[in-house]
Amino acid sequence: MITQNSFSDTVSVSPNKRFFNTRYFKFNLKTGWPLLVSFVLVFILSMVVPSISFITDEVLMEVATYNSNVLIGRVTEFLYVIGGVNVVVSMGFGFVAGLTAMRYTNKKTAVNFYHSLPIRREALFFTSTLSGFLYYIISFAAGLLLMFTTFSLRLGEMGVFIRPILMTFEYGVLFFFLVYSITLFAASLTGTGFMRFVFSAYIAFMPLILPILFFVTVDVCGIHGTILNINYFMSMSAVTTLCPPLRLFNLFELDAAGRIIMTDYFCKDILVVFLTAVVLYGIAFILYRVRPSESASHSVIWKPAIFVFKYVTVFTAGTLFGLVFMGIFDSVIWMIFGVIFGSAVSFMFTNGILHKSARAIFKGLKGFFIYMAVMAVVTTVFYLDVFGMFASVPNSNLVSSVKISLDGEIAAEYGGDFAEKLTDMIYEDCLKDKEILNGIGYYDYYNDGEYEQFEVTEVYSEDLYKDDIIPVWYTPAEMRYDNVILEAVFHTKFGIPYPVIIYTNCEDVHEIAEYIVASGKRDKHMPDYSEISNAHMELYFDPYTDNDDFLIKYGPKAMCDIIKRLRDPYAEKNDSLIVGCIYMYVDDGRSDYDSMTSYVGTNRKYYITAKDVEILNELKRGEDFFGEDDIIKYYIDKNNIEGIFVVDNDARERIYLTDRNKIVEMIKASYSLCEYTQTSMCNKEHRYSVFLNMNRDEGMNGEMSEDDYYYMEMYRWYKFRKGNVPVFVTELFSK
Amino acid sequence: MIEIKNITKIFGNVRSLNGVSAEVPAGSVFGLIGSNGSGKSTLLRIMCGVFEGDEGEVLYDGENVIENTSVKEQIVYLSDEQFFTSGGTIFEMHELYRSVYPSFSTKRYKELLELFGLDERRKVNTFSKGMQKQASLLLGLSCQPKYLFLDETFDGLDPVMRQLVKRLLAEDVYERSLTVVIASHNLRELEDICDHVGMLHRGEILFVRELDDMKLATQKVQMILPVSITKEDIPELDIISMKKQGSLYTVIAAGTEEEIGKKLMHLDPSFLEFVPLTLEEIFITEMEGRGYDYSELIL
Repeated sequence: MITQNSFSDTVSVSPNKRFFNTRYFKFNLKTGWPLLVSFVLVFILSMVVPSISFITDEVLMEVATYNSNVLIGRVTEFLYVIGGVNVVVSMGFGFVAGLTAMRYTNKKTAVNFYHSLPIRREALFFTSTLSGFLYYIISFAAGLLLMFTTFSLRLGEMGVFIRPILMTFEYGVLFFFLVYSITLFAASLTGTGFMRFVFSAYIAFMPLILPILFFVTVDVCGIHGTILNINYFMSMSAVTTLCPPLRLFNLFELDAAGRIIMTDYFCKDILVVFLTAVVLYGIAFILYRVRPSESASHSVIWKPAIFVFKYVTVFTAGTLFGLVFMGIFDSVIWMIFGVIFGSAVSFMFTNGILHKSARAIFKGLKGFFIYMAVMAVVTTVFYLDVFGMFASVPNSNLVSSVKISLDGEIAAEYGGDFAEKLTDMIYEDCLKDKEILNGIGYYDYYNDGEYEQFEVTEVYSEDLYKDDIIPVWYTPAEMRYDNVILEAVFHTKFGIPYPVIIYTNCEDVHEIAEYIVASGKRDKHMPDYSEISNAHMELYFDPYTDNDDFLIKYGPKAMCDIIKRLRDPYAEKNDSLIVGCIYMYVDDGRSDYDSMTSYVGTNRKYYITAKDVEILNELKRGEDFFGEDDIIKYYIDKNNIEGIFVVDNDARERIYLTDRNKIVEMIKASYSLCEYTQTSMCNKEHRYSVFLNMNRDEGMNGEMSEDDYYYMEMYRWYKFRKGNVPVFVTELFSK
Repeated sequence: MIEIKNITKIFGNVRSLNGVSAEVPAGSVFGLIGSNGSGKSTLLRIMCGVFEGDEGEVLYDGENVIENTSVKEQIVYLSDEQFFTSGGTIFEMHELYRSVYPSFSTKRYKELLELFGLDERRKVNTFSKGMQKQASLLLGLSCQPKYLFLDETFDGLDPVMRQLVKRLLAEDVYERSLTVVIASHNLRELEDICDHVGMLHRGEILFVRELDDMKLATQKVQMILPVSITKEDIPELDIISMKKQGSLYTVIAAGTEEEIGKKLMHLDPSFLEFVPLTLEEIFITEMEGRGYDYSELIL
């Protein structure tokens, strides 16, 4: 209490609140205008200026030339793209605002001053951080409002722009908050600007160490088992799950027309990001609250953080150097040298920046030697698989269910005793005494082109196909039929999934398949692919260019109707009603039409039910369907096809036919497969590939040579339907 | 009253303060003295609630200062290195102080601004070191605190400004019962303003005394004697130091003027005068009396 004030003009203020100080907040807002102005300027540059430049006279003319829906579609996509850019900008502002809010904790003088003021630490933290948040909100809202106004005034449309604007605001605020919290957390742990930057990056992206760790277990330690869930941790899904900032990528997707859109106002990813931000903000507050004032300007405040920072850096650098040396010299000795070199250099570097002195680079050398010794022991244990943990599947009596699939295609899941028996069989038939390959191994194999080493054992694939047990994995031209990738996910009774990927052949999975058939469970669980060939069709969409004979012309509305009525490609994989799939090619008209590769990035695969087939059959009767008859009409009758290649993928032979009747017969017996990288579920007819050598215009002419054997830009690629390989084809190749 | 109770503060392996206890009476000017690294600034920061002691507590009229806004509203701490907002002006700092100190007086602020002759709209980083000190002081005094903590505040001020600051402090002490705690290693700056002093040495407080008590207990005498003498010639006198320049002797001895005068009169001095002791001399006396080598303690 103040006593004996000799002056009567003292300021009347409300009592200091425990968590917030209104007057200090107002002061912050008043003095923080440079930050506010900077934010506003950047948002004007990143939102308003591109908006103005986007709405050119040319664009406005399109309003008159085309359906206004077309224009709205383009503008909406533009808004989503600009929105995405500004969400990233918001993340940058989150970092800047976080550093600004906590900047005084870098300097002893400032800390002494602020902590001597009659403001509780809680109030100081919340008041300072709220100021930064408000600067951002004001500037971002102003930028969005200006952008919205710009579009509304020029185009006269308002309602349709609200959704992308609001979603941009939502995502921007969300990811600003996330990065803001991360930076505040990092700032609470550190005492210099540089270390705050480093720690922010660490906190945001340190989980990426996991893929590195598992990469090491595979390539360095030679552990090919998947008990550590290697495939999950190597996946993008794991990365985006573990690194919240990367969840941004989950929130953007392509719509049916191949345009970028934001996912939804509310979804799991949004909730995860929000909760992560809240938790980090809470931790940042707690750390700030207990942070000693005297630690100002220390590189890192807390000893555990120093330890984690130092040894995570050492581990990562050691691993990366080891892998680089391994890659260069292909020698374990060099790899070990790389690990030691990388670890030592990073150890000295972290010491240098932690202690802000080159003289301190050897500080804590004893700990480093202990770390290296522990790493050597752990690596040896892993490499030798001392405990037998990494080359096996879970004990069958611990397995509650097992899900089996081939090459990522539709899986069937089995439970109970059946699962236990399957687990034993998978081990006995496919794993025992054999090497388990994981995803990385598979890709290495694929890239190395070692497929030539595998023998053709078609008899097994035929058996499997005949029994209709497991649809034989379709092998494109460069692969063989009997090379089967069996994926099994074992769900233990403890709820832990153990995915195992086995690169095997049909012989190995035959026993398992027979057991499934004998059990009578197949019909219940396994999808029936008998309709797959008949269900195949193509849908093209091009709302911008003029009609073209090659395209099926569904307008945007029809396109949306179709998509709405079809199933999500991956949502219901286990649905026993699924009868096949279709490939829908969406061309937005901006890519090179003549290049077949332009479809690759925009096509969609949909699993469909019998009911969907009915829908498609209805559509097929429509005037704009472009089916086999159309192909014959446009290509054959108009002499737009010079000839047709038929390739025997097994024999690696090809035959060129020009006989019109044979061409027509083959076209009628086949369906188009534009995406040449597609590894669809298929059948034995896929031994053959059919290529229409199109002669639509000059650009489409060309001879197929060995060099472009796998690059089919100039040809339409077909596969024969089930049971429809023309007799003359098999006869031709048997000669 | 400020009660410092058994404060210990450890930085890493260094025990900066070790069980420091003292009391600062309300309305006093307390000089906290000690050599560099003795723990003055640390103690000051703990007293202001900036640092938290590893042991002990600081009480203001019985209330702990840590995170106690009602106590901190009565405290202004001006550190040896002044803090100003980045690129800010005195006016901006005035806004900041005004926003957090309920007792901040704009009138007082204006008066002091005029008195110091500083431009409130000029960026503080263009000020000289002395001007920054002045700015810091005028802002601190404008808060009209009950407790003012100054760390090496007189460093960098010119003599005229030092006197002005001392006068302002004295006025506030007189008019508002302001309690001032000044940490310094320069005794000469403190001697004409402090009424209490505490001495820190290697993290421990050696003593806390009222300056008047110390002055009454020690006298400085200058006298001219017809004969040459040594300390041993006057054993009845508790002599702390004795210097001779020709026939002029300067003696510092423990006791009152009356006691010492009587004991010296039998030497038949042709001239004898009691002269004021400097704070430094008092400390020499006090420290040496406690068995410390003064040269190790100050400067």
